[in-house]
Amino acid sequence: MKDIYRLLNEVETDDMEISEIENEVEVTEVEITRAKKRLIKNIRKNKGGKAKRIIAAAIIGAAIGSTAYIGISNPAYAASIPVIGDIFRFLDNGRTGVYDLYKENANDINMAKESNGIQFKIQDAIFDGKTVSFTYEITSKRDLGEKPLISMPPLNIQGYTGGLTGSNHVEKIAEGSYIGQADYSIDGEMDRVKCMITFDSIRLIDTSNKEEIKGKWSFAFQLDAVKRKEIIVNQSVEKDGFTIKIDKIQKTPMSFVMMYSQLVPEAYRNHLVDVTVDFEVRDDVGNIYEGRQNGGQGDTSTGLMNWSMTFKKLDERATKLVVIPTIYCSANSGGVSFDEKGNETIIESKQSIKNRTFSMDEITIDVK
Amino acid sequence: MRSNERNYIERLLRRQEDALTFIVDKYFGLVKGTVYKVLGPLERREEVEECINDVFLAIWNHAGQFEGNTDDFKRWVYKIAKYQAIDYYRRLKRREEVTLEENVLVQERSTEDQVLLNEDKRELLAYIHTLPPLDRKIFAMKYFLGIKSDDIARQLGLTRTAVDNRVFRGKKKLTEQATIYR
Repeated sequence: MKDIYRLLNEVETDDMEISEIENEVEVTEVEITRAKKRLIKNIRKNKGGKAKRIIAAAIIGAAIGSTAYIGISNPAYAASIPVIGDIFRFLDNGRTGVYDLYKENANDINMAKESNGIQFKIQDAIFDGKTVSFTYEITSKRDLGEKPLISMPPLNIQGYTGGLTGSNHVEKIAEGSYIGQADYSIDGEMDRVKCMITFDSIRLIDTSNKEEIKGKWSFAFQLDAVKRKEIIVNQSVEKDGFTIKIDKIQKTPMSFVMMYSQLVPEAYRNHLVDVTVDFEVRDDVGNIYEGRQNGGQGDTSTGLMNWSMTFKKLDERATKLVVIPTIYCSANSGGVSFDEKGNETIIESKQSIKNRTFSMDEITIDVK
Repeated sequence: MRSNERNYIERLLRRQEDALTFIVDKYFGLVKGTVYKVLGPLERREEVEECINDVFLAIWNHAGQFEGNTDDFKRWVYKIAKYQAIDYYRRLKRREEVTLEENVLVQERSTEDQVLLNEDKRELLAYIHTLPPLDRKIFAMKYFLGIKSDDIARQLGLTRTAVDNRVFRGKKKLTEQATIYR
């Protein structure tokens, strides 16, 4: 006897209704993630013994080891298939679009480490010559609250002694399940990085009792920079003693990186970090590019800072980029800092410079 | 190797988990929308989620029964969603009715409807397979997918009367068989 599911093959459908449903329905990433979690749990429940899975994991681990340069001093075991396919994009959530093509260009790392009952897994990593970006998953039997504080783990790049700037972002996706993404930018550029990252603490700040969970989750991997095409720009604009110079652009398969420098008038030299610049970037085929600020390095004695920003992939049809810098001088750069115990300290603003915002002339860059 | 547009059905057949998550990404909207259309009015959120879960589990567990190309696969997913939702609907409604007005239910249902609504659908399924192909289609559309006679007629290029007659004839046969089984 034929089963219902086979019988359903024969039954006519109304394709109009299918497209109507697809157009009308609203779906959130969170819903999809929940559904996946539940399904994976369901199907694994019905699978065979544990031993079998460990053997399979070991084989995968070896396969990765030969291609992804996992440090031998850091034996890792391959983790299960990720619940969220593209964490880069998920966490960007359509805000900038910068990460849209990261996943497909990234290296599968898929290494997991367990410590103190909590598992960290690095999923994908990519290096664009300037910034190391990676995604990770945290799985914990105990609740870590809505927004656990994962302090930016120190990244050690073999042979690199300069400073690093970056950001780290964690979000809860289900009970005991979190995903994160971090970016670290180096001063200058490199063609290959041997990375060693150690997460060592999770701070629970929104559960009933604030607490720090210590552990050691170490990962080592090597990344070759993606293929880049450099466009030297060297164009600058000046207004009221502020100068913005775009040095160059690096086109990559998933993004473009704009390196620029900023020179401020003498009165602002002690407040270098309070002066920031934002860019309106568009091309000649109608795209507007939003970017991710990678941070920068500077010198208060000269008032010169070197920054970089990353934008989503340049439209291949574009021949020109038009860039309009806007300068922000902030008098209210105060804030709140937390020490290791989670105590708050309010940083008073110095109020010695005035709030100012102004746009500069546009810079046109040939990108063909 | 990950699932993509070209290989996900094949990977599903090989029971690669990432094929299932790929399918969820691709078809979650269709499944949710289809299930909502049927179960939405009942305002039972948990059951909706449960039903969506069952649809994807059914895809996973019965992948071997799928026949066709990727367009057909989408239709198959849709039909499973509809079938599961109708099934849920009937079960939920019945539970409600049974608790509220048990006596009325027993009096008002005709034999064939009771057989059709039997929790174990094997009887209906076994019977459907004794029908000629066109009637088989009509019965599956009507009782598994809950499609109205008018719509069945439109989709199969028949008149409404033709559909009704086939259903009537089929139900009559079914009642006879059901009586024999008892």
